[in-house]
Amino acid sequence: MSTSIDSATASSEASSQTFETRRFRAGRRIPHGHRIDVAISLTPSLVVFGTFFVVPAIVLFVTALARWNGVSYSYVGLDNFAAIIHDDTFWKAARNTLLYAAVGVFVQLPLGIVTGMILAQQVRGWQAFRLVLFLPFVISGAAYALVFSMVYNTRYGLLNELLGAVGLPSDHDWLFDSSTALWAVAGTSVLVLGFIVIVVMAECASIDRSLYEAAALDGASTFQTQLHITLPLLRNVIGTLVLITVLGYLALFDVVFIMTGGGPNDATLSLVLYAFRAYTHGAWGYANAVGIVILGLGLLIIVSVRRAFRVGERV
Amino acid sequence: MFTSKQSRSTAGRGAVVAGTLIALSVGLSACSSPESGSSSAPASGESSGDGAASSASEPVVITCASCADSPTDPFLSYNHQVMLDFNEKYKGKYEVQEVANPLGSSGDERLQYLTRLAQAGELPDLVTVNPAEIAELQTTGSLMDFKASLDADPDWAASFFPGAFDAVDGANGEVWAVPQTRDVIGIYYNKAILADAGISEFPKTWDELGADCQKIADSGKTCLAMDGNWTTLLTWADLIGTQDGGAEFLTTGISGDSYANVPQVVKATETLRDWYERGYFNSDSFTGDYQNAATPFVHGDAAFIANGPWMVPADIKADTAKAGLYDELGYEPSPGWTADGRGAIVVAGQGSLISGAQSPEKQEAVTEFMKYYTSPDVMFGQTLATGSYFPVDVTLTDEQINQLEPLALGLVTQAKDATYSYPHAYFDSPAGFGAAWGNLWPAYAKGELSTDEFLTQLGQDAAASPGN
Repeated sequence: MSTSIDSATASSEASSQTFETRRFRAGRRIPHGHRIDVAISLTPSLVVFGTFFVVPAIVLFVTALARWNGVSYSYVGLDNFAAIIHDDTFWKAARNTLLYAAVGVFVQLPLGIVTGMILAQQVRGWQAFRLVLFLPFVISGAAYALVFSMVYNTRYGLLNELLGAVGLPSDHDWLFDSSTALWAVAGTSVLVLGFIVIVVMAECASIDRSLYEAAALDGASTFQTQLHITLPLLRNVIGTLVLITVLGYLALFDVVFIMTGGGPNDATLSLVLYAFRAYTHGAWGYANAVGIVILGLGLLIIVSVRRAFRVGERV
Repeated sequence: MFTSKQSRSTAGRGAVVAGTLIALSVGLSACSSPESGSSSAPASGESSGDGAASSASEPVVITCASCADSPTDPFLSYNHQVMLDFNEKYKGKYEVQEVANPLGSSGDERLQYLTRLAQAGELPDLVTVNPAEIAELQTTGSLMDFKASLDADPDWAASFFPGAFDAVDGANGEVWAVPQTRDVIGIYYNKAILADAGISEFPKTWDELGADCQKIADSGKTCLAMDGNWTTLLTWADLIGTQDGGAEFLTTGISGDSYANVPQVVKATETLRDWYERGYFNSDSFTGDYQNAATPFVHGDAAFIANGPWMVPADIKADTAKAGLYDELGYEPSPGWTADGRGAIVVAGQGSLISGAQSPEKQEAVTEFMKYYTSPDVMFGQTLATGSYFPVDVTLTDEQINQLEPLALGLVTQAKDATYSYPHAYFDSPAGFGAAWGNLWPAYAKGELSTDEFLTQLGQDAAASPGN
């Protein structure tokens, strides 16, 4: 099968290509001799795609237009979306999610990029640093959240112990005081830099060394080469990392659920946890409507970030 | 999850058909003899007595999602033991098989999980749930109604305490579950901490408790061990229930959404917040994690904790507890707003067995299991194993009484004289109550919400679905 496609591709590039092969390469029609092969090869993917994406997507959209608790179903049109717009808690969750994403983009990401650029210089001990930085990334969010719940604990938490050791007030309730809860939850992921570091290091390794050699001959310092050569050439990968980071925070659930349950008074509530609450109340249609809003936000973010960073374009 | 069991069950049905054909052919030659060893099961509600069964048929297999042995949960562990004993007693006739319950002890997630199973017609034949979950699950139409079984066996029905089924019954007289427990919940106190603070006895009124808390706080100890959820809500229920009309709110009003205009609730809530503001709670009292309340108490750092009798085997006598702690403790009904107005939380059915069995054969097997579970010896064994008391009226011998946990027995005895009796806040509240409380209580206690705002929002969030 692959031989047939290969030969078809090859022949299409030849000057003596046939009419039928040209049509195959242009993707307009599948030649008669290949239709069954193509159908068979596509079937598993289509079945999986249909089962795990198309069908759930249809269910998502259909039920978002209904009052549905898994048992009874009644069509309500756009009522769920109207209710979302008028629900203060939704906007609070949206604002919180935006802040989580902002912390990710403006704190976590720069930290990771700078760290990756430094480690890419292969400074002494860079392999050990890379390992240490990558470890939190392989720990599950739930375990990470539990650990940080203990770090923030008022009675025996590490943070208050450290503050007390340097003479600062050591009795603050970080997670259940509305003034600090959101920042405390956001702060848990700030040092999860492993993935960003690894990606940046890999991209740095692919940069043509002659650029640095030429800059060195011109007398450029390390800082200048990093600023004017490395950073611009990381544009593509930074755009991708921004995308991954924002989408990751858009789907933030486990850390918030375990650490605060969204409280106090919804101060840490994320959009996905808000949808989950609706789900546990049996308002599955409403939860799915929130899911569609999150999906729409995700698509908007993908398009915006790709355009802003011209992701995929040659540097 | 149940596929393998279903396959086995399907294979079993084939064997049953074959066995029935054989039994039928034998029966034709001996149909006049009632002692002929027929393999047919007794009518529903009819006890099998010794559990003897025909070897010609496969046993009726029922599944149990709350019977897996557990090194940490004494209730699951005891269920497991009962399952083994039942299988032994009814060998060849009925067989209970344990199935996985990945969300065995969680809250909202367990309910959603069971709801999906119910909608798919795959609810286990036996699973332990609480009354709030029963209220939700009965709407799926998948629960077995035990009313007919109870009506068919008046002795079994009469063995339960009056009101034992109140939390598990339906609007039209259905009985959706069989309660496994009936507990009195009081307040443990550490006599050594009280003595160090110059307090000679357990406070009889809430005012006395407040005064004692100040002395205890001054002595550098925590007065009330709280977790922001279970133990906090027990105390809240005590504060409400020991007022005239408080029990009515905890049994009916709490399922509505009007909390703010109930004076008993306002008074209790403001008292609880006042104690928080005065520093009577452990500093991590909002986490919603029970261990954050239990740990300071079992380490001898907190003077009072509201909890059930199961805390003795689970925490107080655990290896992690302070050495000699048990001997320092007392266990009493709640203080009251007046000295003669004390009360106790009494709940039947906090742990209740429901069933998704649909076929008459399985329903019969389930009924037999329920009867076995609620028989006096098994119930007494449950109390010994878990510390939790029984919903059936068991006449205990002196020897059995001597085996009971003295702290819990003392509470049960004292509670009979208490003026007020009421359920805890989770008993009749909507399924969303716990999450709403966990979300709002910290903000209220820290002064970010007024009492009216807190109670209004609590009632609405607990009862209503988002967007509705």
